[in-house]
Amino acid sequence: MNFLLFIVLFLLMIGIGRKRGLKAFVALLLNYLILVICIYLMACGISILVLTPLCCILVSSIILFFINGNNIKTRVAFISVIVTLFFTILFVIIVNSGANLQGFGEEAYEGIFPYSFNINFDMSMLGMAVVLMGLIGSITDTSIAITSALHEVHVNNPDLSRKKLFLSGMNIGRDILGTTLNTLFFAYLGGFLSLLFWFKTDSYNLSQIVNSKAFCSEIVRILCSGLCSVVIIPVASFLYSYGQTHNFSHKKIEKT
Amino acid sequence: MKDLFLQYRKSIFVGGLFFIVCLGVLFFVKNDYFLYDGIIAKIISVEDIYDSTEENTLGFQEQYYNQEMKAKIMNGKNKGNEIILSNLYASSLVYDNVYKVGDEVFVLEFGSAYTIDGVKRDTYLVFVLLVLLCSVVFVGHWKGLFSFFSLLCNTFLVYVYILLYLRGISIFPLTLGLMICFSSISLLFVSGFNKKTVSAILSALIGSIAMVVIALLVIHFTNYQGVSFEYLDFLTIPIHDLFLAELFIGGLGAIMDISITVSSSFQELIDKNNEISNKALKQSGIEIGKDIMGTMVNVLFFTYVCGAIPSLILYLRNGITLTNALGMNLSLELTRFLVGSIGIVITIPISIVVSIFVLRRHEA
Repeated sequence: MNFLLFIVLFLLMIGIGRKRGLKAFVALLLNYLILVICIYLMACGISILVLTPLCCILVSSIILFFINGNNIKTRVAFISVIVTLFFTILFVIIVNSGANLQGFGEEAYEGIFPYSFNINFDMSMLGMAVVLMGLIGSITDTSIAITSALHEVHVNNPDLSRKKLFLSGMNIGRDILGTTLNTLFFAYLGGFLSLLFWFKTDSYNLSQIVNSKAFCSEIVRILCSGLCSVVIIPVASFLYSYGQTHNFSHKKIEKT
Repeated sequence: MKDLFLQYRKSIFVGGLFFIVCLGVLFFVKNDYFLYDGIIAKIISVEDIYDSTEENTLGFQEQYYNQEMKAKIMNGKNKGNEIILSNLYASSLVYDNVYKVGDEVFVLEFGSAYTIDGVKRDTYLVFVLLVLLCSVVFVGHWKGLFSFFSLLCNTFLVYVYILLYLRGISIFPLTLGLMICFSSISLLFVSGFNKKTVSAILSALIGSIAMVVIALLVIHFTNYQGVSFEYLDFLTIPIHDLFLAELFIGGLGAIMDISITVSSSFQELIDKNNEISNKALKQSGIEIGKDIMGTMVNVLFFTYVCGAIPSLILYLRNGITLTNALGMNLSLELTRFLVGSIGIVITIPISIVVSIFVLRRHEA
């Protein structure tokens, strides 16, 4: 069934996007490959703390440089992603270990009890990896949206001061913030619905739901994705406006 | 600096007030023991004692530790009493918790002995929520606050939806109604009541219906072949119905994103140049679509697929081959992703046609 859906998606992307649709499709396959290899290497015992950022950087550079080309917009977007990721790693590790969000909750027990739990694997680090990789797509999306819109503004008004440029970046961010949060909310909700039904049919009370591991780790994933997509707005605006008006002020604006 | 302060005096005041309110809420949740019926204890000392080492069939060595803890009861009639708790954990923490000083746990009372019955996580939940709220307000000001409210409204709607479903209302009309409410509320909050919002709502609805039709056709021809539902087995309600509802809701956000992007850029183009031809509009609509398609599809991909990583690791570490593990675990997530992406791509032409129709309607 997934194969047929895959074909439908492929045809639609080619039909509407033509060459760029094909490119986007190839990028998707590459990302899938990277993710699977990354999971496999993790299972082989290679350090998650090394693999996760590496995988995130690879994925983000594929989305940026392969789909959108190598130019000032994608370079600034790439740096913003790396800066934001760095802070996110710390934040997620603190929250995950503080709230004991590693591994599986009671709700998943039926699915996992046939397997041995003696796997000698750091599940609390893995929790961080799950959050981080889940949000890499959305922060890359937001950062490229900001930098390409700012680039248009900058090309059309080359004399804009650094502060004005930064503020217009924030303005653009304000417009896309709502829809980005929506996209994430519904995407996560789609996966979350079965859990909510389970809580309801199993007559959990509010305190059990709010404090359960499954609910909390889902909510933390949603909120962290949202948080990063918001935080990257000022980061990308700042980096673009600073880079364009300070370091390279005497260089010619790059045409793309 | 002083000028800057005067210029933003009002924002700084409102922002500061907001920040203080958030801190207050956090403080309240940190000390909300009286809201719970169950007994809550705060751990004040922990000692880890090595227990044993076990090995699984693949030879992975797992260390087990026993934690001896002292804890203080924070609520109820025994408030203030010190109790002794113990906890056995395996160092991988697949299914266990490891406690630190300062952690708060729910405990059950058996005579004079107590056992741990779960962790109190609400403080962290509210903390992350408030951090998100603060950054949304800091970056988006009122607009950010509005989008946050729309999410809260939608969360409430989901609650009503589940209640109605359990009352016995059939899931398909209910999901359709929910999708209409979702897209109207979200888009109205995001871009206000105007023509471009109306056109975006219409294209989001038509787009999601197109997505539903394609998904149903594919399901009709393949009858879920190759999709493993093992992970939803714990539910007592019909799995296939629920899964369909999940598919439709999951793609909705991305579909709305596409529709509002297309309709607001068309509005912009028409405002700038009223003479612009429909053909030129169509052309730039396709260009916009190409721009956002690639990244949006990736957003959905990572959002969905990453949730399956922990179980994939568990399977792989139990000696299951990569292909089997992927088939068992990722197939469901991939279906969600593929259906959502089909929704994204099909919405591009739909929103172009709808936007041209709606935005051009009352013009000469």
